[in-house]
Amino acid sequence: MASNESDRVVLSVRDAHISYRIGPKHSVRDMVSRRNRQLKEIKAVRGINLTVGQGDVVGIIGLNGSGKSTLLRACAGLLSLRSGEILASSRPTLLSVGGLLNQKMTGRANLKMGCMALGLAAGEVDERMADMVEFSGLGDAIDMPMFTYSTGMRSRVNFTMCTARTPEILLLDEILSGGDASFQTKAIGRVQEIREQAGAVLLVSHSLREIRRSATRVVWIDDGQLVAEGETEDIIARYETSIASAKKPGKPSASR
Amino acid sequence: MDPAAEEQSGAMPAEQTLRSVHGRPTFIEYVAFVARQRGFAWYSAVQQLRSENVKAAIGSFWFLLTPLLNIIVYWLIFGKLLDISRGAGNYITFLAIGVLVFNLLARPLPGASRLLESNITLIRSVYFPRAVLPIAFSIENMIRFLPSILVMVLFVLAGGESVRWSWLLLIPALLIAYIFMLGLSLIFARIGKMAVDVGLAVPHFIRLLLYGSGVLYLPSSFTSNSTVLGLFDANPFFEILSIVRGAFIEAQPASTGLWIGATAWAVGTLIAGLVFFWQGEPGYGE
Repeated sequence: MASNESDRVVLSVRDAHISYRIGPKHSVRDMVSRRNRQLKEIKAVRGINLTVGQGDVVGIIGLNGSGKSTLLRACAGLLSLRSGEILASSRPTLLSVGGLLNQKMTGRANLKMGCMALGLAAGEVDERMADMVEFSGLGDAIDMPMFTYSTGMRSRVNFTMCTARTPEILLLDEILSGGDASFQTKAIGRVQEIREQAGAVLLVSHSLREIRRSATRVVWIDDGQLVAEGETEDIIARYETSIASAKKPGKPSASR
Repeated sequence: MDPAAEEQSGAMPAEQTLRSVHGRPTFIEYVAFVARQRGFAWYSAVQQLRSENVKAAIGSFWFLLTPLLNIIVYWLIFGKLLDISRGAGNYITFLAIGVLVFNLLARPLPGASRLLESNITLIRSVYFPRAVLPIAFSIENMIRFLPSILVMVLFVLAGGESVRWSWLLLIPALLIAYIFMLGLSLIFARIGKMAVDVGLAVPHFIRLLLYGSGVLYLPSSFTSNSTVLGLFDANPFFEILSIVRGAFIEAQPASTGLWIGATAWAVGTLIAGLVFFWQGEPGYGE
């Protein structure tokens, strides 16, 4: 699992296990008595190892519910692990569809608030605002409340916000698939820039075309476990074969 | 937390220090991190207020109208019908200050207990110290309270008080009230996340406080039992109401003990709130 391009590791996932607990919400009784609650545990990620080097663009592929988004959230420190650890040279920035945005506020206010939440000072945001608005391509709509926006427009705001400051490690969750072709091209360009500026990108997408265009290598996840990792074309080919063959039998089971 | 040095993976020669993305910062680091995010807290508070006003044409008007209606209802029931105004001086002035300041302190509590739940999308998508949320929420409430100060002054003047230098005591008194409210919001935010039934109990708690904090009556006019009065004097809500009343009402100056008590409660609650909130920190996105 060596990373190419550079030998400087920026993100290291070690035997990560993540589970969601589903069940009745905590009540006072649970706080008082420490007995185990009747909670269903869903193991979303079951022992994943991953090493990401500087300049890597790692495409993560897998079926719905395979644990890709969960893994990204955990890498951003937003979800805790059951066991294992995730180490990074700086806190990764997660960019996902629909996150963060406040529907009642304008696109501009959202951009500003989001950038501030990500750690930019108000002055810095104001300086970059014109560039950001231009990059987003939203024009006058930027001053409309966000509930008037289409999904594509929202994802433009989201993407612009999260890439305003070049993060060292950027985690993209299906973000390039929102937005139209022209914005996608721009966004892919931005991903390349981040990569060139010594960053690393983890990219979750169902669009294999997009993965082919951006990724330097690919990780295939199924049922919370790593199936394969390696050359983009090689892994995508195996993934496609597996999907094609899974269509005929009943269950799409790649691992186990 | 601490930079975990990489030793065992010798395969990577240029590996620099990697840190766990899940560690909880030390308390000092956390407070410094929160302080760096103050711009975000202010901005989101202001934007939140602005977006509320967009929704309801007379939205900001209701911030004033609600306490005003409260004051009138309490005045009719407790002042006129039941007449518990004994010893309170001009009852409507006494009542107006009580209701308005109590609203500042207690009305945010239900919202605070739901705060983390209602911001869960934000919490799950961006990392920032979550204490920023109760802080922004408190700033929001602080700004919302500003028109109430005007209403309070009107009631004080209508009650026959004259403008005095002691009115300046309103500034430290409100500062204490704000700090106390912020501390409470931090505590209730985490409790509300830990247990939903607490959220359901909050209105009852507020009602108990309303009747047990001398909002509607002056306790010393109804009992001379020193234990009961001691309990009132130790109640931060009563203390804060008393120091605000003391600033405005000439006949009811607040004792130094009340000022010390209110200050201690406010600062203590803020520190306790920060520590308590920080301790829950890695888990707010669950």
